[in-house]
Amino acid sequence: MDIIVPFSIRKRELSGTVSDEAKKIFEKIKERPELAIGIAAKGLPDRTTLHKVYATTPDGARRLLFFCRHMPPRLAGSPQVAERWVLVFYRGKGDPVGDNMSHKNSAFESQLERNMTRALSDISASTPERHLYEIF
Amino acid sequence: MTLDRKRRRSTAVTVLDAYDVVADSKRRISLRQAKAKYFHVLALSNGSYLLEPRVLVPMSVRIDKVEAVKPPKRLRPLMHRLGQALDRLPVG
Repeated sequence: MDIIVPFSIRKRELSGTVSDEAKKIFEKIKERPELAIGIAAKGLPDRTTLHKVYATTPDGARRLLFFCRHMPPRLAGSPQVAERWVLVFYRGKGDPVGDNMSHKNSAFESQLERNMTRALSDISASTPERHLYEIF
Repeated sequence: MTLDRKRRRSTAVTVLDAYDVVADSKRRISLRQAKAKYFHVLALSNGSYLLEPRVLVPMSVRIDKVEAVKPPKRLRPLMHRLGQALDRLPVG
């Protein structure tokens, strides 16, 4: 599993650098890929889900949101595609978005669209020589 | 029997100091020459207090839960495009 942090998300959500705390959370998520098994959402594009991760750190509770692109069923001769999770939000619990990541929160909805657009533009504009994202 | 005796010997405590103290206006007292910074306190029914030294273990990062979030319908085309862009990224 790859965890992708687009540069624009890194700037907005992590103040420009991926902290050790964030790296530890990513490691924990990667250690337990079964966490996301069984999570399904109706009516979404094929192999895509949005996952909200509740994490506890020494500095307090964190709420992360990932856009997940799941692996397709492996067919002989088909190219291998990795499971990819793109960071969209990295918030504390007291944050207006972090407090309630659901469609009932208008602040969450508007910022979700903005952050996903930013992530898409970074990933689309990346070239093999020049990545506009970090992979963990 | 031998085991009991051994255990008693290893956990035996001795009195190193004994003194009377006066609690201040906020009912606080100072521990003289305390070797630990953190204590577990047992308040007993007879008014006594028993303090046991504790070592603070730094809490590590923990994942409590992962949940699916339902995005608004209008974001589905954006999710579709983002998914396709991710599939185009080189592996590794």
